[in-house]
Amino acid sequence: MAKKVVFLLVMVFVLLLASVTALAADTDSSTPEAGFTEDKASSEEVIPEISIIDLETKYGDVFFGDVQSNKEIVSIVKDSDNGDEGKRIYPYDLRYFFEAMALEVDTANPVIMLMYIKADDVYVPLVDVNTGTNMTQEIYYLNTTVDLLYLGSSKVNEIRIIAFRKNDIDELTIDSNLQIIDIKKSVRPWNFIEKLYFEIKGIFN
Amino acid sequence: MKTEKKERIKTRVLVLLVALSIIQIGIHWNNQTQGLPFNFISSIFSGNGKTLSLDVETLKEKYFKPEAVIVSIGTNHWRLDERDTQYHRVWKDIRDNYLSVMIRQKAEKILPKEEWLKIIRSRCVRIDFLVNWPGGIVHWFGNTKPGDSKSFEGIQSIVIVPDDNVNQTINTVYVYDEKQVYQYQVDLKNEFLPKSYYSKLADELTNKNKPRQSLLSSYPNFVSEKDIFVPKPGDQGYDHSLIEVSIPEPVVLNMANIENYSIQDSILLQQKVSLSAQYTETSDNALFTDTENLYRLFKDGVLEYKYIPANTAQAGDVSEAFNHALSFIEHRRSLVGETDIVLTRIVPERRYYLLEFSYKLNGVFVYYSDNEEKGISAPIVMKVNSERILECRWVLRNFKNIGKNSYSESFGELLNNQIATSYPEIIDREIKSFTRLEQGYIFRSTDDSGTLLAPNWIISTDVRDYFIPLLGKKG
Repeated sequence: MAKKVVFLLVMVFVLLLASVTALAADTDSSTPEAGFTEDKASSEEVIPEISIIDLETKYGDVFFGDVQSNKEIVSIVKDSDNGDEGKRIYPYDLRYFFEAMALEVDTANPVIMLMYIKADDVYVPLVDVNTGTNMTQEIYYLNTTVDLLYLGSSKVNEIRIIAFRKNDIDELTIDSNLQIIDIKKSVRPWNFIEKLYFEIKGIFN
Repeated sequence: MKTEKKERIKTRVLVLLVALSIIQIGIHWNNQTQGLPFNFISSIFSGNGKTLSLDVETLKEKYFKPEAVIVSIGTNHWRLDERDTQYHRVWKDIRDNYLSVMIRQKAEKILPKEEWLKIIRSRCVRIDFLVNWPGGIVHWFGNTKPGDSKSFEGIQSIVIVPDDNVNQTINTVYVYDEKQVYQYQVDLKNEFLPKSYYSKLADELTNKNKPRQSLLSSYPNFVSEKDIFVPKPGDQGYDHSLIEVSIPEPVVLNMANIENYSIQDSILLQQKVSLSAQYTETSDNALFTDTENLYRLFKDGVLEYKYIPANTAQAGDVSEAFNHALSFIEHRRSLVGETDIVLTRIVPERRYYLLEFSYKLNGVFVYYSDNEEKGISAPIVMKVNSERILECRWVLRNFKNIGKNSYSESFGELLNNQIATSYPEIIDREIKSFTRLEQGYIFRSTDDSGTLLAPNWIISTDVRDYFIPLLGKKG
């Protein structure tokens, strides 16, 4: 009997010893990461800001004159439903979304698009509601969301879109490297039925 | 008396042995050939993994579903997929209610395919399938006979135009089978969704600020044969998972999995008894073969199957062929986990149907590419006729979601910051022709097990395929 008990105890002891080894955790290596390398601070190329005011001062006659331009730098995306440039955004009475695609891709020479609208016979900047500027600069696809000025079917919003390439900024010439697009829009209010429909929809939703 | 008892026992034992022999022979026949010579016995031995014993309703739910539900009002579109509740509501209504009616009902009008474009540009709810489902399969799913159909030969798209009929209890539905357009006036019974649901769906989506989409072809000189939708510029940003891809554990090719029958159990199923294995530790594939069947499993997780005897039979009934294909896949479904398997192509040939399937996870495709030059290929390709599977090549993979991150799906960012700088050839041509532009994942046969896949823009032009990683959402 004693022998059996001793045998069992020895078995349990051996098993425990084996378990300790099996369950032993890895010791963390305390060797720190060797060395520190100082990253060389990269010197970023400073891109000069474009001053719209300077452009307007320099090219005012060209930008705001009674001019036509046959040069095509961008193509304005049209609403496939009615063929008009820009898409009206509900529920805003005067909000429009304009998109344009550059005719050629040049990553080193992005397209700059300026938006203007005639107010009392004078062109004023038509600023993007999100960015607060009337200038968009992109390599290929340009878009802007703007609020027009005049509501009513008897009033006309005269919009002017000016497009050119950034590298040409110092010597812009009509028909050479400057595109001017004039768009006229009369915007009627959302009619009563449309408004009521959307208001009711808003209540029940 | 004792003798009689002994004789009775002997007789019973003899009968039992004879019965067992018949069963053994049946199992042996079944394993050796695909299908028994005697149909009445096949139901006894049908648990062999070759004939379908799967529920048609379950298969219908898994495989017969649209790629997208598109809600349109003028130039405003919303593209809904399996991640959207409205997708499931609309599809369930059409599948369970409209489809059986239209199969049995004669079309009110049959219009030329040129009318389709005009119809889908009106205010409508449209269901697009990835493939033009053959009528034979639609009938099989609908539990009807081909002779019941009085109209369409297949289904590529279905569209509901609520405004076409002023009657509130009738919806006008069009079915497009790539040849003609079939118009139906469907009486709405109690179990149907009310007509108002469809006419107000665009408004519901507007109110829920569901992102709108633009047609790619609305941009100058961007063309595509089928409608491709891109997000409208705005505040996009969707959460996508990273996906870990690996060869399923049970079919990792090594001696252990051969010796413990893990591979045989997973791939050969009940044929494992009759197929002899050939594999050495140094080879990159294992072969399992008998006189009629050849299975080959490669180290990169590719499974190939071939029916060895020459095939002289015709392609036969498409629903039976599809049945065999689904049976083959479903009996090995556990290997790919929760990933969906989607039919992406079906091509009828003289002696077989070519079926291609792809993986889908969380409603987004996980595409496969053999190599950079070839572009996107199907991970599961089968040649099937109404009698059996003739060939199959299956890139076996298991996919697991790992966390979620926000990504920008801005089309403008894609064009300006990625395509224009890295792949200008896509847009630097007069006509920009696309066959695919969507978010998805891509894996290759050379990816190690445990590779993490990030979401990409998957772009296919008429020249090649492009995979452009989604940018992280700003701010």
